[in-house]
Amino acid sequence: MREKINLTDARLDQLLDEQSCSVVSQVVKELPEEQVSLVWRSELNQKIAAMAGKRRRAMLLSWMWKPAVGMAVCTALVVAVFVRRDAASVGTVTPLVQDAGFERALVREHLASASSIDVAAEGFTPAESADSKGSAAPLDWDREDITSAL
Amino acid sequence: MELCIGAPRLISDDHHSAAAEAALLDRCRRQDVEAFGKFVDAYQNRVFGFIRRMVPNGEEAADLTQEVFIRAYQNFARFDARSSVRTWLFRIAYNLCVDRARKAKRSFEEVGLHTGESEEQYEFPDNRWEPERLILTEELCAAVETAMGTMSEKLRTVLLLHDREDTPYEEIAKIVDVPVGTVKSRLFLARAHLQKALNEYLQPEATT
Repeated sequence: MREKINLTDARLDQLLDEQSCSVVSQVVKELPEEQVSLVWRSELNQKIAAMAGKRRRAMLLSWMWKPAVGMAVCTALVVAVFVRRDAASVGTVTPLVQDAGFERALVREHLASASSIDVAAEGFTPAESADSKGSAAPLDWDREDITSAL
Repeated sequence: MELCIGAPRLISDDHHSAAAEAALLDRCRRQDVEAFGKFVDAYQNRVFGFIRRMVPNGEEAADLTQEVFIRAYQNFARFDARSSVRTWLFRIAYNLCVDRARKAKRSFEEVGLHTGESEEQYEFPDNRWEPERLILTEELCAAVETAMGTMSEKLRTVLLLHDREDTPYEEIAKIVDVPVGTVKSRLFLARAHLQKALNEYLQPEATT
């Protein structure tokens, strides 16, 4: 049976239905099934297992590293906040050292301390030593004091 | 409701259910190896059969089939069930065959269906043929395989997906990314091509 094709959708459907009942369609349907080999399946199983293992390791690493990274970030933030705060507070304190003035004060203190030791031994304060040095009044020694020193 | 129309059950128990299949697919989405193994069991031979008839080299077909399931495993989380899992799987297989042909610097040939003005004529199957009387001998199988090998990949794809896998036209259209009308025309041409090639085997039945 030969005829020209009329390619409307309805006609095409009709032709396909006729073909579906034909030997051709049945033969294709009943072709023997291809079988994969055991070696093929074994190789595929190995590849899938390898991918699964890789994924598990990646997940384990992310479980370990994510908290550590999070803590590091938090710590860095905290440090940054406190450093900024300290830097702000440092700016309001009057520095003790003003160039060489601090050094001169130290030297003066040392000399005063040394002179107080020279005058009246340990324990005598620099203020008392200065008072006694600058004073024109005679020393108020008792006789007992003189005799005990000798 | 079947998740995979026309596809073998993923769970072969007597008390399988759509819910059980859905649960299995969910496990596959989570890359559960055991669940994916069952999935492979259900489709390995069918996918291999399809690719084996699309790719002439047997070893290459086996490698491509493995690649199909590897990609399926890697991308199962992206399967959103808008189409059946069979459609999704065969789409992967079809795309890999296309890529392979492209690498081999061949293109899937397009064979057009001529319009009504054409002088082309096609032989239509004789309704007197009785498929039940046909014995599918090894010789006939070999002839069919050879005939399918001579048709274009685009026609062969549709023929295999429809006549062998019982895939509906709409699903085939999604797999090969063409309109349903194109699927039907390709199917018609594929069957006509096969019939023409098998005339020497079919004509004895046709003349009875």
